[in-house]
Amino acid sequence: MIGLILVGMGLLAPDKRAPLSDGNVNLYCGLVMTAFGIFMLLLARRAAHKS
Amino acid sequence: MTLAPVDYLILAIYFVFVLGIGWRLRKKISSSGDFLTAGHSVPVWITSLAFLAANLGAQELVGMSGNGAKYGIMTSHFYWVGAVPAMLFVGLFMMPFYYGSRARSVPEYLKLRFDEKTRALNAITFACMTVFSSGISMYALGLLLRLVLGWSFTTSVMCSAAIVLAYTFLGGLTSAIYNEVLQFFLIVMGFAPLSAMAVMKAGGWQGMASRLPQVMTHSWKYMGSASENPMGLEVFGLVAGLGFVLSFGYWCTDFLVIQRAMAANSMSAARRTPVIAAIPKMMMPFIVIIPGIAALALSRMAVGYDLPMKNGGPDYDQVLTTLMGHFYPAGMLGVGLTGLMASFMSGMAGNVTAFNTVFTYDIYQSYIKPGAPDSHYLHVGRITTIVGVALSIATAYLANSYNSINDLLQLVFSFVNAPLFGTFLLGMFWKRTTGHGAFFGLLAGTLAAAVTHGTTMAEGKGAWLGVNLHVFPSPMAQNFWISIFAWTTCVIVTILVSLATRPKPAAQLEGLVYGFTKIPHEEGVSWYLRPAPIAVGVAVMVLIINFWFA
Repeated sequence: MIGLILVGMGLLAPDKRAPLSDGNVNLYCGLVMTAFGIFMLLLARRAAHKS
Repeated sequence: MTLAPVDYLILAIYFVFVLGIGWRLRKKISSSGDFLTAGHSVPVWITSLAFLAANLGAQELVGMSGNGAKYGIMTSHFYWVGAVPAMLFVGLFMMPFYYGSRARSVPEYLKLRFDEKTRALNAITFACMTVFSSGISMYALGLLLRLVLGWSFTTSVMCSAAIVLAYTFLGGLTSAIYNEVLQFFLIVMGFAPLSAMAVMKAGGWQGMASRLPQVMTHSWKYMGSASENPMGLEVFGLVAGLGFVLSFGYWCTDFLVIQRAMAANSMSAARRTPVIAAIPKMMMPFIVIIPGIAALALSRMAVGYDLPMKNGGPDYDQVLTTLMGHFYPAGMLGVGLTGLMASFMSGMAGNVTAFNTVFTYDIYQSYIKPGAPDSHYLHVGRITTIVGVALSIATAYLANSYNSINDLLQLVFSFVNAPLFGTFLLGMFWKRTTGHGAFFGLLAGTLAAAVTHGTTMAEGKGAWLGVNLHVFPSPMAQNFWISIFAWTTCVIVTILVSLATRPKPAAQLEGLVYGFTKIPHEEGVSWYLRPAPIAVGVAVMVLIINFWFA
């Protein structure tokens, strides 16, 4: 959920920067978090299927 | 620091999940065992992350990053010397006794191995320590919320206490453990990007090294004498004080972390818990310490970042939060803030649940009202949750007088864990140790810690006995030497008194002492899943890291 929110922020406000940051921090971090979340959901689904 | 609506949204989502976990698990709580010991039913990957996350409190993030700016890469000794070896040791050699004895707590193990008075002494000192530790986490969180949200310290402390109280009251230890796993991932997600960005901005490791004194970027090179490095330590003080006594004293005897391993669903899982946890533990310096070093380098680069100040000197406890304000835009700032809150809350909740179990089983059930129905102890456990949180609030105000919360935490550990490790070492591996020896050794070690602190000084603190025998170059050095004296005194007194008193019969020591306990050999388990091969791999990795940053 947090990853999706950050991806949304990164796409809607791509020029959002902090004083010392250079890139689209929200987008990149959001993509990583979303991918991780999907991975964990797949693992949970696989474990539930096994049990 | 100004928060945007999206930052509050991320915080709110986290609180919903935290409270939701407690709410969901409340139906599984039907006995004091469910509430206080998680029913020994938790899978190994959960217990491993919880074992690590329970220790990942305010000290780790705020304290270690601050120490990174204050002491440099030498701070990593708290991990590569002061944690990993002890975690491997407890998994391989001590968990068979803890888990195999079926003791519900560390003090209860002491009762089985020795006698009631040793259990009582440890239960009382441990209860005090958990309250202090929880209070320090609460203080750090109160500072954070005051800085970030502009709330008063009191409001911040009360709000954080209320949330922790809610989910530990509902779901007990199981709720705390599953929340700790959630908190671990939030901490990594919230601070790994900050570390990467700060290091890149500072020009990478080479760029940082070129802007800082060499002592800040070498972990062993300047350990020849205490005057060569900002920690004020030499090799013996570090290895004996931190690497042996404090480290083993904490990781091998602190019920806060041992409780997580004891919640595992099998002996094999319990042994693997600290060994597996050592792997991410080894990587934590790259997330928590390196940003502090980068902050110091950035403050010398005229990029618009300066170290925060307090009372005329650097305020190291604010290094991490000020870095967040400079690198994280709205959105990711909310994640970083949530990660910080998660670390504080895991530290608070971990100490509160440990306090609950020790008070309910080792103090209340043993001495105040033995023989009551289990439902009564479940009720007492819930009430104790409230009391523990209230006491933590009081100690949060005490923490305000220190400029480094890590120094205060190490002082508390040197009083409690250092002598306790001596007791456990002899109790688990020397069958001749007696109950009288253990009790008087533990008492003498604790008193030795008090006397050492009361007759020495560091940064104006200590020497409260009216005499100042030595001034240490830093509170860190003072804490390490307090722990050395406490442990040594405990061991000597324990041995002398044990030799003069009668030990328990061998039949009563089965499962409690090396030599009378069958160590499991993990038949039927693949070799790469056994504790020993995993531990060897971790040991090799940590040696390589030590050489790399020497």
